[in-house]
Amino acid sequence: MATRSDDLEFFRRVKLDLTGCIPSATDTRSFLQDTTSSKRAKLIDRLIASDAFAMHWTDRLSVMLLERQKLGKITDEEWREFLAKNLKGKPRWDVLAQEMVGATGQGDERPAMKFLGTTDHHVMTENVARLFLGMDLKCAKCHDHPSVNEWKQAHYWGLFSYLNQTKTATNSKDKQTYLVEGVAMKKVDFQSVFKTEKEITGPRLPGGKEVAIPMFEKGQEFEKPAADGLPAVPKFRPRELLARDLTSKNNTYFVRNGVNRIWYLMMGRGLVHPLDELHTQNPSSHPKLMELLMREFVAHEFDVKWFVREIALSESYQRSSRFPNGVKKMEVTRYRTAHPKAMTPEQLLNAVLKATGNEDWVTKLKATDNAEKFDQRGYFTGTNREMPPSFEEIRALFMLTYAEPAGTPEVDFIPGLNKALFLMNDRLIQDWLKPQKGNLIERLTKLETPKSIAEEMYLSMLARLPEADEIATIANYLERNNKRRAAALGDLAWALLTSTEFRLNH
Amino acid sequence: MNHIPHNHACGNTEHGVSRRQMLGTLGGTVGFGSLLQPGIAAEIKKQHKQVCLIWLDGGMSQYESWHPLPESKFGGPFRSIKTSIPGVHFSELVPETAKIAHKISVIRTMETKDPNHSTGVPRIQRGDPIDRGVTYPHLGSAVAKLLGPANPNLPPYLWIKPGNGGFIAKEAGFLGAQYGTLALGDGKPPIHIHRPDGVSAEVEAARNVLRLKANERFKAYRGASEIDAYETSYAMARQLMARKEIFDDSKMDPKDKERYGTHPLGRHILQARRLLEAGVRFIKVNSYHWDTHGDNFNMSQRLIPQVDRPFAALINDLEDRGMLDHTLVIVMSEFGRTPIINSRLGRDHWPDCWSIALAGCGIKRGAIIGETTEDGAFVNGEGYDIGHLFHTIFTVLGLNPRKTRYRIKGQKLAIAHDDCEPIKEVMQ
Amino acid sequence: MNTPVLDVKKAWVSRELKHDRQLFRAQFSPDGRFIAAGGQDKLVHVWELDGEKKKTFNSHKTWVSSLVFHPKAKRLFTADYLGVIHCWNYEAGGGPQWTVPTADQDNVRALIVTPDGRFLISGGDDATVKVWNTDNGKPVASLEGHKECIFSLAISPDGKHLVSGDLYGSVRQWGIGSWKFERELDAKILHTRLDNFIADVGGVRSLAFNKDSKLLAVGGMKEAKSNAFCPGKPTVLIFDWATGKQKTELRIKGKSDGPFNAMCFLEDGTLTGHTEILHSDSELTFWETDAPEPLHSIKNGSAYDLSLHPDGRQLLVTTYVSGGSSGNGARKRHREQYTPNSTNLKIFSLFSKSAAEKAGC
Repeated sequence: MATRSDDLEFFRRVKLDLTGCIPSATDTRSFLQDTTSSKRAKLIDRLIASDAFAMHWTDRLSVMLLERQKLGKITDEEWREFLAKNLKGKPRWDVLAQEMVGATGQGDERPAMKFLGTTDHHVMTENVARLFLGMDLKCAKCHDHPSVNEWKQAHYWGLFSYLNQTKTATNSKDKQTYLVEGVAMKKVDFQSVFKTEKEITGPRLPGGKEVAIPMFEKGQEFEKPAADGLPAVPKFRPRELLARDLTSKNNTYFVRNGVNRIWYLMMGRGLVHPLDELHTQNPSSHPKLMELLMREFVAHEFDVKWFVREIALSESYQRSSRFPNGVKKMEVTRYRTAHPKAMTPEQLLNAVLKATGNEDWVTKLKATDNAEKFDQRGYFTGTNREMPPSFEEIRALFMLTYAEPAGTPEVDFIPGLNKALFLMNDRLIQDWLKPQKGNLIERLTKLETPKSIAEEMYLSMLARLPEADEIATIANYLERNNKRRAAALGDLAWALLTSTEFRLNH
Repeated sequence: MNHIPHNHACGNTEHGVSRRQMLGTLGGTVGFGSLLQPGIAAEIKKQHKQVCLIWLDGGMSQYESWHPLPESKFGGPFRSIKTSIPGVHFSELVPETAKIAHKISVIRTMETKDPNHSTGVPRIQRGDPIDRGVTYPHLGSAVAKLLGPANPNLPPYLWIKPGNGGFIAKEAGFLGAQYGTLALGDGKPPIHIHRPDGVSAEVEAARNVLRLKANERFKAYRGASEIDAYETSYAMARQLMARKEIFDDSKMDPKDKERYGTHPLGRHILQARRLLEAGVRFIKVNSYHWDTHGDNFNMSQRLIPQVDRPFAALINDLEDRGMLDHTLVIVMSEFGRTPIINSRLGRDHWPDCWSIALAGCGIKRGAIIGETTEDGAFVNGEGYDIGHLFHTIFTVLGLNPRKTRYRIKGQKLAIAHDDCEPIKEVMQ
Repeated sequence: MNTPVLDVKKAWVSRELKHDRQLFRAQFSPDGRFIAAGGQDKLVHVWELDGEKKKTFNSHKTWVSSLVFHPKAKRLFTADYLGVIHCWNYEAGGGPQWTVPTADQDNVRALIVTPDGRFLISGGDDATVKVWNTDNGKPVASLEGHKECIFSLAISPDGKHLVSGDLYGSVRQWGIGSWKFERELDAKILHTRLDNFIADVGGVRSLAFNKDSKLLAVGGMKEAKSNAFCPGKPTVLIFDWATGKQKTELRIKGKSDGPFNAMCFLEDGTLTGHTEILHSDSELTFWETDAPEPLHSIKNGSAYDLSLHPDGRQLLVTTYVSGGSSGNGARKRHREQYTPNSTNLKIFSLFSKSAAEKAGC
């Protein structure tokens, strides 16, 4: 079993996990010097209450739920505002899920409509199953799942049956798009590619009872008449029922999935992993813990912040990622050490800017009003030799390099050739390692001793103090490169920036 | 059949003779066994199999290339010309390949299901396997996974294409992003393969010494796989940077550039040869805008030679370099074009009977496979679906598609359509 | 008998000659008694219009690409995609009177004869205008200058000047007899090659002088969107012959997306032209050439050639007829029957049928 993380190991980790960025050298120094016994708990509370938490977790939940797709008519800004507002208050996972699955586009929760964005009912079915039930049912579209015994084709089509009346409609008055439902008239039939008989199902949750589709006399199906270009509202609205029943505390699949995903967001790995493989053949690494967490999550009304806090306070979370002496290998599911996590693309950009001390001026960069559109493709092929003129463009370049393509889950760490090349050779990075505008390198050029240089560098970049041999390496390098001191400082910083220690959240 | 490569173990240039020189004439079956020294034979055995897929997006017309039939009621205005295979004719638009037809094979009876581009292209490139609800990898990603990199210092799957480059994870399907392809836009490597301005080779080396030192420290008390994976990505990146001359256009022999042609497809196929020589496992070369629904004959006149010349040059060069026996080269589209000519004097899509040219690793030399109706419109007898081609490809690459399986989420999945078989007539 | 009054708005199809393969060129003989046509079946078809007797000449080994009648003698010149040119006596029949063999040149796309009947002129893929003696097919001159495939030829009514149009949109003027280059006209918008094209699209596909030689019509299409479907905006440029400057740009009413394959001027100065479209109906268009909008459009299948009868009242339109097997991929029934598309040589009478009957025409 690894020991508890030391203060700075913990500090960097929790700052990344809760606010999406590494700490500044100043903050690190303060935390180190703080002697209060409950400083970790206080820190956790402070961070969770901060706006930075809301912004960072908006990022994380958006990527998890939308997978960077440009869906539907809700803008990214509207969606983010909606999530951030929730995260600043008491964000309830069940309420959020209900708002997303049952979204009509009306009222304050309008941006929740973005989740079901595409009106492809198959995509909706798969997304709802995957993200809210932890079930990857794609393989169950054409037949019972070939390897997961408890996932049947009926599950897929039962869910589909809740969703296949949904469509978009535009209100002729306010010109906005809304999600509406048509009249559900019959069950859905399906047939396995391996069977000859057709089967049939109405709306039905996995493990639940089938919902009877009420038959109305013609003309009696509607609750509200059509108005302003929107169709009549039917009396029987299966998707509304889905939103309610899927997110009920009695739906163990939903609860388990919620627990698992939030655990993953903090720990880097689900108690069940992969996250869309929640079934008995792929049991949780800690079944008792899972049961306990599920009970508590329900008892605390699916409060995301409560759960995050609990995890952050736990011993498992606060364990060091260093192996005990002599140990060479550790099973990741045992949680006996903290498992290093990738930084998300957003975290990486924040961290690179903060570490190199360029955060302030770079985040304020704006393109001039009549500027030409920046040629992103040309940037990567070499025909565009310009620097990106705005922070938006810089962000876009980072996302193009580090984010998964739209529609792909971003869960595990996937290092890549092109990602390594970017961090090593990109001219932005190169520029940020030149002394300017009060950044790290500029500050370092003003310091005299290798020790002070090493401390400032390591605290800023790796959120820790340097060891003796590290100070010696720096001293050595600076001496050998005394005719190009600023550049040499850049080299030393480059080495830390491209190091594994920097890249990982450990 | 046997082939003595120029690069050989004993370093003796006397053995660097080409097959043509030895045989003197086309054809002939002189065995080379007695001429091989043991060292060379072993070296040959170790040579990795490689693939070059030339993809003509949109549908190249078989009537204007591999199956001309000018006498039939569907033939175009161009002549058919004799090839180096007695009794076999190609279109006059492929004169260079006609000269070396005996080195390649053509399947004239591809019979596939999808007449659309948007669905057809991925289906064909994935081998159109049985739908198991998962996204199968494209051929290049599949080969990258099943055979791994040929040269451990280079990515296993590169894609040379006009337009954008970048890392395309999508082609890997369920295999996961690491089996995606590094696309070289207009054949250019990503700009990040170059050191930034102001950083000399010495500084770059010194920086990396520092970086490696930092990593060593970090790893001392940790063992997560993420750490190794990250370090590997840098090692690969540096290897690629060190080999960047393989992407450098200016380093290519001007005579080669002339032989392949300076048009994009010519340049890109020449570049593919360079990358094959460097040991890249799988290279796809794309050309777009072959979908000649309008003005098919004026367009074919200008398009078809664009593939004929560099394809023939590639086959000849691979042979000269002793690489043809272990390199599979395929020229194909997602379908062929209609026998019936439309109102814009174009041809529409025709998956019902079309042609593919292939050569190299495990493929017969000079075999023309498949009988069509006299007018070339339909297959006489059984045609070959794309699954058959995939079985063939995997077999000549040394895999057993009947037994080899992917494992994904507990499912065991065939690598090619379960109900298809290799096309024996085209394999050695 | 009176000649009916020209009235294109009342035009009607007075006769049809159907053929089971696609034809590219069909022309009236100078005396109006014959029609000669050629195309995908490699044959030269000659109909005698009185009685519909038909002769077939079988010597071309590939698609017949162009044909032209001798203005006086009973000779017909035809050329093909191998660059072979045959001279026929179309009334007497029999084999070619003389032949320019394929070794001499590349594909021929256009043929024209000087009004005095002395010279046959051809243009094609080798970008060279070639002049031949109409009596024996011997080469007379070779005019260099075009950089790409020549698609069209025309001769000014006074017989003094030749124009040739190429793929790049260059129209070159030559002196007849001197065989010297005189002038270049700029029709470059009829050529498109965008950055992502891998071939040049378009070209000057048709040329026509008006009766008094004041105007030259240059036909093709502009703004091609791709070199795959090759769709563009069918366009005719009207040049002032004297100054060589473009006066107007004519457009169509409908949705056709192919080039103007053929044009001709009617005796009252109206210009008519025809274009093509994929899998739909095209149109026969008429203009008064001082304005871009058409005077009149008649819905018609895609067509590849136009020919005006010497009486100036009948227009022969080589029209594509779909066999009903268009589109992508084979349908089940195609296994039983799958035949090429065909042609309807439609003769449009360019006058009011009823008015003509009333006037006793």
